[in-house]
Amino acid sequence: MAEVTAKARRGRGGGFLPFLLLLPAVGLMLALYAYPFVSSIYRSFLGSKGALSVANYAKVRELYWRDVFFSLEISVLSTALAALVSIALAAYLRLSTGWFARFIGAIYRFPIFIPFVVVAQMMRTFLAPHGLLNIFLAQIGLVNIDAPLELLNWKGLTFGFVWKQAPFMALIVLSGFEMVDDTFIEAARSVGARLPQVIVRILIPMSRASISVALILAFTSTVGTFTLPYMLIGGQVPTTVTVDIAHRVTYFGDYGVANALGTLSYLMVLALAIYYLRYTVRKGIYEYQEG
Amino acid sequence: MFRSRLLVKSGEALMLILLCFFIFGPISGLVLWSVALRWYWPHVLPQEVGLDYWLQALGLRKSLAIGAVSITDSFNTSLIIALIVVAVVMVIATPVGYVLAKYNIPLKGAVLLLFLMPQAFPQQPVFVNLLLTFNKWGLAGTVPGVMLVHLMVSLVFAVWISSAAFKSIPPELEEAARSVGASAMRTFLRVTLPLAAPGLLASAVFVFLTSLDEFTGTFFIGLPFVTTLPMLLYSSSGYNLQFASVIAIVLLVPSILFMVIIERFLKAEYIGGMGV
Amino acid sequence: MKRWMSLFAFLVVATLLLTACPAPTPQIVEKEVVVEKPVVQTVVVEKQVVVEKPAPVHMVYITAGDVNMLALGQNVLAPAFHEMYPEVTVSVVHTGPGDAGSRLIFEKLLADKQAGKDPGDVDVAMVHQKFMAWAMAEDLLLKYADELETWQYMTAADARNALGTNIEGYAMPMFHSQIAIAYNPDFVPDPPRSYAELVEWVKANPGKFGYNGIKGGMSGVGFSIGWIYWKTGKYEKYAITGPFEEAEVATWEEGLKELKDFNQYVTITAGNVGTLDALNRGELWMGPVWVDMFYTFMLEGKMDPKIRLVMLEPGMPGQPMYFVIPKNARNPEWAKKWVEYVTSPEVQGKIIIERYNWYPGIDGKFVQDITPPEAFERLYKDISPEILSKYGLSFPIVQYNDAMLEAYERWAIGG
Repeated sequence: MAEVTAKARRGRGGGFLPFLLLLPAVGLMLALYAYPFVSSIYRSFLGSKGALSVANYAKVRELYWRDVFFSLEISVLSTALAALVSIALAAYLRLSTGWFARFIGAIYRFPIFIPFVVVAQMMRTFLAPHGLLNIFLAQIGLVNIDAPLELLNWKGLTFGFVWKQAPFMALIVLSGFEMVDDTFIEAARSVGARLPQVIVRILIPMSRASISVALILAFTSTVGTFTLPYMLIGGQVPTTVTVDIAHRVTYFGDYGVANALGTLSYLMVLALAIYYLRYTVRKGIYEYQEG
Repeated sequence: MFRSRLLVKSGEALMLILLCFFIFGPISGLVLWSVALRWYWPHVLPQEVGLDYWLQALGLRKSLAIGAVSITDSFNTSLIIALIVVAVVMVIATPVGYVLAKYNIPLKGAVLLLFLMPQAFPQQPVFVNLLLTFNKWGLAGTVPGVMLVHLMVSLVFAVWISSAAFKSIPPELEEAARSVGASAMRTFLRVTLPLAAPGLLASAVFVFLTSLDEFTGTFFIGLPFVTTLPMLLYSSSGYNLQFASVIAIVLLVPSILFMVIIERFLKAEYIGGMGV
Repeated sequence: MKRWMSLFAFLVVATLLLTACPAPTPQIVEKEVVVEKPVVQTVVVEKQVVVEKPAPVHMVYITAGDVNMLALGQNVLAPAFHEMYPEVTVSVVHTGPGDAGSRLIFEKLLADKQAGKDPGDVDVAMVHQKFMAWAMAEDLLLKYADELETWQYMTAADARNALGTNIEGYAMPMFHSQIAIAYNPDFVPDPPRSYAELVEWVKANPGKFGYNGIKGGMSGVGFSIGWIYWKTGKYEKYAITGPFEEAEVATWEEGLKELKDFNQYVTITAGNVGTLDALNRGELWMGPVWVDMFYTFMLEGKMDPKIRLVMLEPGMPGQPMYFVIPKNARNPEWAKKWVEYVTSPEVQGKIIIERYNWYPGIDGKFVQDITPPEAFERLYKDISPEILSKYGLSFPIVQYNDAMLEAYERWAIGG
């Protein structure tokens, strides 16, 4: 369909126009994004005397290796949890009607546009050992306030990321689910599929594109967020790569090591993308072709 | 049957309560701190409350309390930046969305990737290097510099959503308009644009909020001369918790407001069509 | 095709119109911040200022530090200065906490110099000690301090030397701030008075002492540097006499590994304020804080008034913040008047001590009579002037400072 329209258009001689329409935006992106992106990789290989070297990576290996893995673990964990929550939420909202569903559908979006700085501010007062959560749990007798839940660490950080990312992912996943026609669901139900089967066999496979977009957006912004880890766990050991980057730049003015850390964070995303692609290719396309 | 319905309903109610607790629990801390005049352990609630910090922040009362600075200047800065960014982004992103939706151009994948990249890779290292470039061009620490950064960050949403919006318009409608003699321009303005308008509006809202809440890029590029609301929140969070809470709540207001608006206009297809 | 071109032309024109829009806005926003126009006038006018009709002067004061620095400039100093000299308005620009904030000021001045911007955008700046080495190396600063009326009150060593860099005449300290240990006497009736005693206390009370590591602000950095002073006993060499010797670094390994062991028993907080927040919520019983922030928290109802301060033997670092004037300042004479005003005993006693809880930048004996007794008493109650002069140390010279931070990452964190 799209093929046909496109051919028709080109037949009318719009060949040159689309490029002109793209020009301003693409030019801006090349100058403002692609150039500094490439130069961040290039500079990570510049030694202190301006010659090519891997000294920056050696320093990363020596001082920040644990943080690199910590960042990766936190990001994978948060994104996975957020994905579970968001898929469950989206499935519920897709398949339910009624007062509760409408209300939940209205309030779950609340965190989407709250900036990370604000999230960090909130989590700091909410999750602290004598913060509101622990005080509340102590009041209802679930927690002894003298031995409170210790959440100002990777647990709290994960909670903060999930809190912020899951609703955003749910918004995207839900719109994917809504594009799945009711007849598929009805059909599955009529042959006796239960709720989990409807989700796993119908909704998820048919909304793969939306889910991958949600995953990539959430994972990337988790890897790249500075304020939440800085304001929540700061100088704890281990900490995230973003805190280290800010530390190198502000205390030492050392852009080399900062860029090496940055390049490693690109690699994390790339690794996820490749893993994910392989997984979906094996699971998805091959299944279709072979089966 | 009745029993299982009851079970489902109570399950839903439980879910609602939990959701409310986890969504509004963290926010309640902000509200409490924004009115706390005296609050320290072992008191679990503020010992003394009042609106002093609100009045200071909104510039209604001049106070010499430490860390009290008026937020009106940075609020205006944030607003002006966001509005102009929305205007520019819409003008340059709408054609891109249109082209991506309606034409099958070569290198389409590469173009999509270019717009996806700022959201697909961590942004912080890019900003650090952009700062070095902007220093050379005299854009560091200026409002246009910050606008350019916001532009770059939010372009992807505008391109995606507007492209999805154009895609959802059946080509037959445009063909029909053309066949009765409307010019391409007229067809675009009278048929395509109105049909895509809700989608374009949704993408404008997305861009507006992205700009309003942008922190990392403004932190690296805008400092020291451009103080947006998130920047002010960050610097006062280092000192005055009450004041920072006030700013945080102020930042929540547009988010809630626009979440309501966006619900009206954001059709499922627009987001579902992202990146496809 | 033609029709498509007309659509395209429409879009291009629209794009150009709207992309052109950002240009006017900087003037709207920056009007309060950077003034472009009165360049020529002011340079000429300076000497006529006292004469009949002074032309309006717009001065830019840029400050690093926490948001209280912005409040001080915006709400207190700028209005007062404007009242004294109605023709002068002062804009206050704030760059942010810690050395990072000073770094931004340095990068701004350097960028202006490299771009050949003369006069530059900044008239007077408030910076941390580290800034001085960077700026002196690039020759960015005006020598002005010894011309000032108030130079006679500057008796402290750090008015002449900042972290090993000779700065005599280039900087005037506005205040001095000190790191000390805050403790809650309800839980800690007999607080440790030295690093050695602290180590024992921490092992007996795990998790109740907290500090913010070295990536979250200077109170943690200062605590860790005090630790190295204690372990090596080489404060004189590291902070005052120098010189920097690479070989010293290796001698810190053992001490820092002990700090790593110590860290097992403590809570690492997020930032200077993280420690104060935890003290506020009663999670910690003890932790290093900036004295001025501590008292400010108390005045704002966020700290139990029972909590007190103690200094650890052999001492903990503190630092001044300096006024500097860039070489390419647009209004250097007004900048000098500004610095003179803020370093006057009057302002030092009534604002710096009483309202902001800093130790004065000038010699304490010139302000004692001006400061209200209760403010003076509050500031020196727990930490007497004698203890302060005995245990109040400097941060190490720049190379040692950097080396210590990295050594901490290497051995106390262990990558």
